[in-house]
Amino acid sequence: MQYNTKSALSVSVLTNKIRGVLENDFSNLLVQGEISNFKHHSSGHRYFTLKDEKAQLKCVLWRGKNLKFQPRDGMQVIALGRLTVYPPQGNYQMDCDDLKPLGEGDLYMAFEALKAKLSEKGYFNDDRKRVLPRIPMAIGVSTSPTGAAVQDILSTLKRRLPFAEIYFRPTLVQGEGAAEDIVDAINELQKTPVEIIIIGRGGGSIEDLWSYNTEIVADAVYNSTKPVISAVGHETDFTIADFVADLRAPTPTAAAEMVSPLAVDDLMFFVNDTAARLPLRILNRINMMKSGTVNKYEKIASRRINDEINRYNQFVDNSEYIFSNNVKNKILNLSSALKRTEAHLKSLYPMAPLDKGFAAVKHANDYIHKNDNLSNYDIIELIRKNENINVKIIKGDLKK
Amino acid sequence: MKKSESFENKIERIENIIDELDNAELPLEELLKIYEEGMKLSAECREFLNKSEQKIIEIGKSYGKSDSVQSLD
Repeated sequence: MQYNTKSALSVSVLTNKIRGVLENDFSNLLVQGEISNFKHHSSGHRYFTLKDEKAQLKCVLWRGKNLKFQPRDGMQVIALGRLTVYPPQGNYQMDCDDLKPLGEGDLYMAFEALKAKLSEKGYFNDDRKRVLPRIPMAIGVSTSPTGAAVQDILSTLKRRLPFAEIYFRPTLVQGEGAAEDIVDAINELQKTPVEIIIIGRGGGSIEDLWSYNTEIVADAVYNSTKPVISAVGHETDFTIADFVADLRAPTPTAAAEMVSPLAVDDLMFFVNDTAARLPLRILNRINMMKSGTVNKYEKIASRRINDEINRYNQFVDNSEYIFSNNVKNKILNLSSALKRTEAHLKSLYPMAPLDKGFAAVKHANDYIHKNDNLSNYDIIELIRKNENINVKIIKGDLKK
Repeated sequence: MKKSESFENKIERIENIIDELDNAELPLEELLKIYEEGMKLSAECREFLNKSEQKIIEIGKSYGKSDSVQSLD
């Protein structure tokens, strides 16, 4: 195959040529399709796809282009705008200036209008949502007697709350007179012993669900003396009744689960567990009391021991005081006695008179006795305090 | 509904008893008394749960009649 490589276009050039053609030829478009994949980006721009059975068209609605309704997936709309090309991704998209809801869109507008009105009236306030009973023994159910919803609700309740009485009010859930029948059902169920009312139905188109978007149903739910759980359609369907109800359940089955937070299995477990554990608890408690008593005695005992110890200490202190005093006195007495004895002994000492100038007499190295006789010319020794002197005895008149 | 009140009340009473056995400063005689009460209640509740059977009361447009609507099988 022959071709001239010099005539090749760059991707950008080609894309710009396409862009020129598209933007010229499709500058003023009205396109009808169903919204899908609607994304409200945080930047404020809205991205979505318009589709029908066979084709899809990427669309963008720039920030600042306000709509009178909230677009949602599944809505049929007519988009006003023009085609552009987005070169970085090589695709074309529709720049929308406005969207007009078609058919269902009118319902959405009515929905939004009623929602705004009731919100203003405080119908949706959180502070008026009631606390649901923990173990409801009587449950009101308003839904179609045919279809999956009633079976889902009843089978779930049978499984979870088999002891509960179900007051079932077969209700017209769509079409002519449905809203009025739902209102009657809510009013009738209130007169029964039910503790909570489930209103709901399975999935369907917005027209099918429409009864739950009416003001009379909203009023009936709002004025219900019994708490109401609303379970209309699928998880993605929101109705006015859902907003007014005390609780919104994503599906009828979920509603039945939500009214039975404690299922029979939980209750049975609790009861059996209680029967098994109460004896242990009371035993524990008794043991605790026992040890509490022991502790009490221990406290008393230790206090007594402390008292004893203190008393003993005091006794010892006291004894020591007394003892030391005695000893001191004894020592004093002893020492004075000793002194007296000493003095006495001293006074008894034979040499004591020497201190006063007396002298002792020795003869032949012995102290002389009072009966000893001394002869003339005997040499005696005079022992004085500070000297010993030999003395010759000369008897007779010395003057001679 | 006497039955419902008494059942939920019994469950609540059991919960209180468990609390009291664990925490309350009660003399031993009182503890034994509530212990016995708890055992009795749990037995009653178990019997109630075992015996329970779902009962469906269908009500009609005028309360008590169900002929105006298709009745549930």
